[in-house]
Amino acid sequence: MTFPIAELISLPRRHGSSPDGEDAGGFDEVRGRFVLSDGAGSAFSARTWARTLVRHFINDPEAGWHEQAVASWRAGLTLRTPRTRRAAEQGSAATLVGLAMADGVGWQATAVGDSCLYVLRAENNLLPEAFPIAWGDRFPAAPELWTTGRPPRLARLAGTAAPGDVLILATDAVARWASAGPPSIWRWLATTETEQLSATLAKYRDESEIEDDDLSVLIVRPPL
Amino acid sequence: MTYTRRMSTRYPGCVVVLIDQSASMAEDIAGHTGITRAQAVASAADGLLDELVQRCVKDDDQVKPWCDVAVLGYGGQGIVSMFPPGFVSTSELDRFALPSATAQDEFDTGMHWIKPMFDGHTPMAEALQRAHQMIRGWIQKHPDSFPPVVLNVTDGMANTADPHEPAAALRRLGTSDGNALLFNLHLSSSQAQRVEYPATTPVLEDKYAAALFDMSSEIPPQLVETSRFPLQPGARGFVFNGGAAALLHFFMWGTPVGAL
Repeated sequence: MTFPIAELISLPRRHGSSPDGEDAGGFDEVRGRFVLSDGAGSAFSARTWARTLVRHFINDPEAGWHEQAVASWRAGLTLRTPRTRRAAEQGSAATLVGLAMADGVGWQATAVGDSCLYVLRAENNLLPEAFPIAWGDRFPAAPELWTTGRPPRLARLAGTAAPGDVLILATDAVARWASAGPPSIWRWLATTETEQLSATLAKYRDESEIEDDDLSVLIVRPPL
Repeated sequence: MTYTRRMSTRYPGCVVVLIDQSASMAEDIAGHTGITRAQAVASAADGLLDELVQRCVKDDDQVKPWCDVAVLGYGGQGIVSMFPPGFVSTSELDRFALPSATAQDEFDTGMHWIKPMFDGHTPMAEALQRAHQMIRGWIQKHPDSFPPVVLNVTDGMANTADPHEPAAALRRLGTSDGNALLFNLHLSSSQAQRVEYPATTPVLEDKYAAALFDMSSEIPPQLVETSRFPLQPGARGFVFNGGAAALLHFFMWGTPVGAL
C-alpha cells in the first residue's frame, strides 16, 4: 500500500502578533488527511483556534465536531485578566481548507472562507481547478469564517486523483498571489523543491510581491 | 494600494481623540434629561478607548502595543492633553484609566479615562492644529503605518476660529499607506435620529451638522469594502447622535470578523 506524500510550508508573518503566526497546518499521510487553517487576524487566540480545527479535522474530516472543538479551544485558554476573559467571550475565528483522500485516489475537500485548494492535473498545463473560490471570483475582503460561535457552512467538493496530479492547499495570501500570476506559477509551485519554494515565497513577501501575511502551502502528491 | 497596512508592533496605528469640553457641553443631550453632553462625550470616548485596547488583546494576558493614542480636551482651559506623554500605547492605556467608574447609565462602558468637563469657548480649530502638530511628529517615526485617525467628539459649536482649514490640513497629512482620516462624532441637542456615515450632506435641524460633515474625511473604498455597515460610495466619517466605537471597524486588524 502506498500513500500520498505531503510537504508543508509555513512562513509566519514578520512582526505579527505571534512569532509562530496565526496559520496552522497538518496532515496524516497514512489516513489521507491534509488541512490548513488561517486564524483571523482580528480575533482572539486565533492561532489556537486554527490549530484546534486542524487537529479535529485530521481526526475526523466529516467535521461534525464543532462543539467539541469549541470546548477544546476554551479549555486551552489561560484567562487571568478581565480583558482576556472578555476577549474569550467574544470568541475566535479562522478559515479552513481540508482534504480527505480515500485509498489515495478519491478525495473530498472541505472549505470555509478563502483558504483554497487547487487541483493541478498531470496531463495538462492549464489552470488548476480552484475551490472554493473559483476562477473569476474575487477574493472577499471579509471571507466566511469558522467561528467559535456557531457551526459553519461547509463548502464541499469531491474528485478523483490520477497519478502525477498535484493538489495544492494554500492560505489566502499565497492563493491571491498565485491566482493573479501566470498559469505557469502553478507548475512552479508543484515542482519546486520545498526549501527553495519556501525561500522564494519569503523573498517575494519581503519584496511586497506577496502581502505581509502568514503564508502556508500544503502540497499533496497522490501515490503513483 | 493604500489603507491596507495592518496594525502591528512594527507598524502601530495612531488615534487622536479630540473632546469638546466647552460650556455648551453642560446642556443635556437630546432625549436624556440629566445626562449632559459632557457626560455623553466622555462616555463615547471611553467606549472607543476601551474597544481599542480590547482589540489589542490576543493570545496572552498582555495588551499588544499596536496603536498609539492621544486624547486632547478643548474648552475654557485651552487644549489639554489627557495623557501627560501625549501619545500612549494601547499596551499602557489601562494604566491611565480613572480609579473608579462614576456613571452607571446606558453610555457606561466599564473603563473610564475621560472626566466630563465643560467650561468656556470651543477652540476646535486650535485643537485640530495641535493634533496636526502631534500627528506630523508621529508620522516621522512611523512613515509606513496605517494612516492616523482623528476622532472629534463635539456638539459642533466651534466659536473661536473657522475649523475648516485646520481640518483640511490635517486630512492632507499621511503615511505611505494613505492620508489621515478625520471622523466627527456630533452629539446634538436635536432629537433627530442617529445618522451614520452619510454620503451626502445630511438634512438635519442642527445648524452645525453640515459643517462637521464637510470637515469629515471620505471613507476610502478599501475600508468601505471591509466595513460591516452597508455604506454608500462617498460615505463620510461623520456620525450624528451615535456611538464612537463603531469606527474601529474601519481599521485594518487583519481578516475582519463579524458577529462571532
